[in-house]
Amino acid sequence: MSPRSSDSSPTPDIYVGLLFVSLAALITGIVFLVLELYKYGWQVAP
Amino acid sequence: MTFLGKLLVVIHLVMSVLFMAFAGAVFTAQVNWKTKFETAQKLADTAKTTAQAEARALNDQIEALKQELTASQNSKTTFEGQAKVFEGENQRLDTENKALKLALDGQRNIADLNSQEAEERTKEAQVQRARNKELNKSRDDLVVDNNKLRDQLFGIELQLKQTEEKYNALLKTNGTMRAFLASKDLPTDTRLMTVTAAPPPNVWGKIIGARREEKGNRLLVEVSLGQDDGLIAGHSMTVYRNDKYLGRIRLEDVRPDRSVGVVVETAPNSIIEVQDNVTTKF
Repeated sequence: MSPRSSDSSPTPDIYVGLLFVSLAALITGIVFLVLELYKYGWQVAP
Repeated sequence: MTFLGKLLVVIHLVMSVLFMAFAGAVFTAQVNWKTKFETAQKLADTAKTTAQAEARALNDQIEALKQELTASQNSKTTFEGQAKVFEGENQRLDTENKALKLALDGQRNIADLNSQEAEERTKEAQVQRARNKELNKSRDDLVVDNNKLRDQLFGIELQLKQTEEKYNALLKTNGTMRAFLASKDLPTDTRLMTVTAAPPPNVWGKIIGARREEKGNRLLVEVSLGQDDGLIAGHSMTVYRNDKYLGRIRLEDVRPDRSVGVVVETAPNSIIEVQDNVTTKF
């Protein structure tokens, strides 16, 4: 990465958007797994 | 941003999307094994309870069957004893049945014989009935004949009575005539009458014996002629020898082949001897 000057703010590009999309996918997957674990009463081992 | 940073961002994105997809798939296609386990556990408990109840029921049934088996064994023993008794009685009944069959055969034979005898007796009765009918007819005929004979007997008895009356009258007449003949010195012997009335046949014979009578001093001679020659007592015969008259004899005892006579007349100077000739012709 190139050094950035203090007065110029970085401009979000497509990759930042991709990271947000990736974050949303991770959150969705975590929700699915939480719901699944909720069905078993939060008991991982019998 | 460097190229590596960009590449890592893309890889991070792809992996995040894959993670979300797998998590969604797990959430949507998964099976709730806990619920199924609980349901299966309840079903297993219910099945266990049911099985225990059925086991108790089966045990009860086993006990009942054991009791029934014991009772059945007792009944079996009792029935076996009864079967032995019945078998013995059956053998006795078989023996008795055989004896009764033999007796039945004997009685049947006797019945057949009696039947045959009855048939024969029936036939004989028919014959006897026919004969009885004939005998009745014959008896009727005999009764008729008997009545006729009685009538004849009555007639004969009547004739006999009349004949007896005639006989008695003739006896009286005969007695009177005999008394009359005796009073006239005539013979009353019918043989002398017959001799006098019927002359002897012409026969010739010989004197086969001569001797004096012991008490009467008469000369008795035996002649070779008798009843077979037609002579009877009372006949007189002439005695001769070589055409010489010797005397006369009268027969007193005449037998079939010879006779005995007494000399009633003797010629002078003549002696009647054996082998002299006799004849009735002179």
